[in-house]
Amino acid sequence: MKIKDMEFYSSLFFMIQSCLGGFIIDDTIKLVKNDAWIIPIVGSIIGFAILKLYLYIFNNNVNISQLFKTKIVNTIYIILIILLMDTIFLSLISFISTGYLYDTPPLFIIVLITLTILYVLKNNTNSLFRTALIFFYLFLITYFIVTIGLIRQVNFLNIMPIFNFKMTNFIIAVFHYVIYTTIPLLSILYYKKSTMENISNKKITITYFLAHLSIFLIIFTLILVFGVNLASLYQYPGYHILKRAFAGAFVERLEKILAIYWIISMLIPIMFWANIILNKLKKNYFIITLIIISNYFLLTNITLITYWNETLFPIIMSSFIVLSILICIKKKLSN
Amino acid sequence: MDIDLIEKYIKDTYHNSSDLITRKIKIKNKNILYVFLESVSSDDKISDFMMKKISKITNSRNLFNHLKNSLPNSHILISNDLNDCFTKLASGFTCLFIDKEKEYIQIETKSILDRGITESTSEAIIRGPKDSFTENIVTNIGLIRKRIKDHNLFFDEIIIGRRSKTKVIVSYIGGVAEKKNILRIKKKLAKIDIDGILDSGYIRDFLNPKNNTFFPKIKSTERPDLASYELLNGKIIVMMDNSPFVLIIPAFLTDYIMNTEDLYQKSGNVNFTRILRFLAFILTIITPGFYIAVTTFNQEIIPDELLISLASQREGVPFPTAIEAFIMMITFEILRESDIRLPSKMGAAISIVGALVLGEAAVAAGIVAPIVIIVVAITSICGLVFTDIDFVNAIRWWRLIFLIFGALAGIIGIVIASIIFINKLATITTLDEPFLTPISPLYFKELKNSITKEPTNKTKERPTYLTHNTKKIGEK
Amino acid sequence: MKKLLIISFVILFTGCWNYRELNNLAITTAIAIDKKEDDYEVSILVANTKKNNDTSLGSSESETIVYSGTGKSIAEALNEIDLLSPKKIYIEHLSILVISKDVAKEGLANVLDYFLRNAESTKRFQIALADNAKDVIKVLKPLEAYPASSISKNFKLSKESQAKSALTLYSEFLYKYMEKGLNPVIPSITIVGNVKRGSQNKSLEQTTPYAITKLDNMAIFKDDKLVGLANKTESKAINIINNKIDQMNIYLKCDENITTIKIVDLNSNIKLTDYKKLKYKINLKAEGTVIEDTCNHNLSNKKNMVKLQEKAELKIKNMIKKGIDVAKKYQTDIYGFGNLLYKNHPKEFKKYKDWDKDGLDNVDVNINVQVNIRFKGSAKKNIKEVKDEN
Repeated sequence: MKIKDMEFYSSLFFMIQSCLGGFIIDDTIKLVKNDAWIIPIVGSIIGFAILKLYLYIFNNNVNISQLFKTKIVNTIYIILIILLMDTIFLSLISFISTGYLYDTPPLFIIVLITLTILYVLKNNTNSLFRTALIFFYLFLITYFIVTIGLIRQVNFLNIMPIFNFKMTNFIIAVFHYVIYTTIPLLSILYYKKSTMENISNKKITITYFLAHLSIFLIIFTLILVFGVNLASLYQYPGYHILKRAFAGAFVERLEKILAIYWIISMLIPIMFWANIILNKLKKNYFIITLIIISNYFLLTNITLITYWNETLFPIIMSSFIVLSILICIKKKLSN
Repeated sequence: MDIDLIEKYIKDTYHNSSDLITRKIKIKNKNILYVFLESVSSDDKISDFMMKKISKITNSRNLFNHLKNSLPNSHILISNDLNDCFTKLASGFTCLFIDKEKEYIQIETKSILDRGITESTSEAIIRGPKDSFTENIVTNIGLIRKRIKDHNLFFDEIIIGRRSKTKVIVSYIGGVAEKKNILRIKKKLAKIDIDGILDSGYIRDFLNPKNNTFFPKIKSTERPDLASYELLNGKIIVMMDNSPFVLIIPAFLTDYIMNTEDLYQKSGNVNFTRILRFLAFILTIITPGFYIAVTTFNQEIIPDELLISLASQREGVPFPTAIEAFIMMITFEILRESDIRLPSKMGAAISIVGALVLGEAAVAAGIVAPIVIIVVAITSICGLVFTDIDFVNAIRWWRLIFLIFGALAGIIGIVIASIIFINKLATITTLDEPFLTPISPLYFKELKNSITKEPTNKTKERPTYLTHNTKKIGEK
Repeated sequence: MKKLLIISFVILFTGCWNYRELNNLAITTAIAIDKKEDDYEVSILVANTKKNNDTSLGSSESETIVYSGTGKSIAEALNEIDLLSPKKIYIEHLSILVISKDVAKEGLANVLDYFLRNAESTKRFQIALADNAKDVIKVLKPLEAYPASSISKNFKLSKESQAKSALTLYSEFLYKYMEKGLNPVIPSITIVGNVKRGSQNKSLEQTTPYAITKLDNMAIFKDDKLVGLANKTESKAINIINNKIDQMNIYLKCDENITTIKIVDLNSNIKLTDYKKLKYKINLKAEGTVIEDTCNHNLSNKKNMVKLQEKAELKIKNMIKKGIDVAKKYQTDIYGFGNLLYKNHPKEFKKYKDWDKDGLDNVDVNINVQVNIRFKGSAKKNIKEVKDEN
């Protein structure tokens, strides 16, 4: 049975937004301060080139293991996706640990989430896409409620002074942003167009811009409501801003329920990547469990995690882009 | 064939059953034997039609052909297989044997052993047709035929059950229903090898060999207007003799939430009711788990004044919250079960006693906190909105799963349980269509007619996921 | 596969770390921070949630309990209280934080860090100043079922009735402290009556309780240290400029009698007109209703109304001038003149090393007040006037 169009678009949407819960917001506000809202706009325009690359590979139904005869490319691909999954997984665990279950040992949280992922992996890929679609509806509802709650709290003076940044910081922030949002897009190349029906390029572009628009709105609202100082002070400003959502007696204390959106937008891409790894490793559940649980040993080393997030991750992941360009060139040469 | 031998053979096979009646008649020099079972045959038809004609026969020449052509009964079969006689005897036929003839005549003289067309007891309706299916399959076919007079309405018969030999009928509108689905269902039914089937619920298990979910994938109904509506949309119906419940294949989640009454009311009012039912569906599953998660793990969600009143209610209650909610849920389910068993004269008093007094007494004795009674009341009342009993029982399981997860990890537990729940619902497929159509593979036009209701004059097409022939107007 | 999942789920049942029953919590609704010989003394107001089954006998248990603990930091002091209370302290439903003047004079940044980091505080809680913070929360509160809500509701109501005191949220305090060129203000609370007798249960049984809390003037901070208290007119001016009030009353004298005008719809904003010479303009628009008039002027005459409006405008203008003078006196910029300059012209702002000392003195403010008196109530003239005419 084929995957239908709306399911694919909603999974693309979640893939692009996977970085939100972790690192991107802290990074842009730390580097560029008041003007963090410009970064998504510029980043989405620069990332458009990578989207074109993705569309070319996607539309031509390229099978990676047929193009390159050696197994090296395959292993590089798997390693890159494992690294990607681990990064987002660690930020998910620390988010849950600080926000919801602060006394429980992280091992328990890891085991709980791993069991969920394993259960979802047991069912086939079609149901994963359908689950993404239903959570997209939930996302729309929570977004609506949050907008109602936060509309009275904005203070437009907080964006000023405008354009008060250093150029080097700006370029670094844009580079980080582009890497964090387009690499997940490239990783979904594993699902081929022949298993889907009714996909149009125009709608993929619209989804891409919508996802960036929602990131822009989140960062923009953060700066408007909190101001730069408070936003750079909190560790998870996206969670704390929900505490300010206030509309009469209705939307008053709902931040624990509204923050479910952040958890889902990190968990669904993790499930997709786990699905890709599982299929590449010939359905060996034991190895997947080991990979996910081994994250526990990385949790204690915070300096390593920040170093990885800031410097190593963008550099290593840009090799993904290099890989895709290689695939493109090889495909064009073989035609 | 020798008539005395046949009579002895039949009496021995039936072990001289008390309802087996045999009579020998002599016309000139030929003997006629007729056999019937008094319990299923109608005495009037035998005496008024068959015997009147036979008593007037004087000429015994060519008796067999004469009888074959001139018996006034409307339904006559000829057979030469003696073993076929037993099935037909049990179906209410009279077997007429003529001496020294190779073949014999089977005459239908069935008596009506069912209760007549009455109002439905399980699916009540205020505005709309009130007749319901009975145990007689010919009546059931008639109730559908008089609603859909199209000649494309087919009823295909299959006999199932080695000893019960029950008639099972697969009915569909040719040209509208998908051919491959029909062939699949017929193949599955033909494979059934069982002693006897007593109700359409048996067939349900055979049609669903992969039993991987609590939710029912096949809907059963007692109402002919609903069955006709589904036939016109392109679904397939399986009917069974001796069962007033008819199976509708395939059934989606939105079908369980819809009610027949919606079809006959104003669409504006129905929108409100349908959204209310969706809300009830979600509430009945989440409420106990959510209550436990909020009062034991994440108390910040509770408003201020309510917090103090809840805290003072919990003083002196011995059990932890999870066990309390669990006990109350089990008590309510036991009450529900006992309510069905009791005869109606005692039933009303027991349910009032159970609900109010038991709750009040439990609170006064200090076993539970008053808020738990309200939580369980909301849950159960929302659960009673749905009519299909399999569906309500499936919800019971999921409620328990949500309760366990909520007691384990608070709001995060509820999130994880809902991920598992939604994923499970997304995996189920019935007849190769996902269970959550039209929500999950998004069919927007059909969604308007599932979650809200379009006025009948605007619904011009059948759902695309059921049939290729979607035009309702101007089709062949 | 399925069996493995089920077994692992069952194993996980053992022990839930974050699990706390509702009746094991000491629900804290107000916290008071005092200074006691170099240590912080933290007192918490806990609601008494024992089941009130026989209230008809006039139960002698009070509805609230106050626990205190001392320590070198807030967390240590709260830990001391754990030794006293049979229930676990739960501060997530905190409603108000009262700080004593001694602590405020030393600086609030160290005190407030605990509440910032404790990520569970859902409710936006208020902050206030008092002479002796512990006494304020010890005084029992009539008229409200939820302890501490009488003070917080009092603050919320103050927005709609008068201008002397205004609700300040903790997040607002943090915001104003961290911004450049802006300093926070918080309201203060005093106690009217005898504190010792006011904290007994018998106090609630009288028609006038022995002690009541009363909202009082605003306190002015520089960075996070307390520098002074404003007086009545200055507090009103501070709240008017900071846009914190919805309604207030203005009392205009004419010989021996007073005309009262109720001002609704008060809107004020500050604009920067000349950034080199530091010229600012404050625009105030208000609408008014006459609610009490014992002077003898005929209000149906248009000229008299215009005269009354001008009187009101003048009075407000003088009030605001006093407010700006108090900021200059204490050398703190509580209105945000510096902040406005920083946001529009950041390079100009950087020229001043310490805005509060150098820049604030040169600030020149042009105040523009516009009051429209629309309605006069149900009477056209004063009753004495009508009698005199007859």
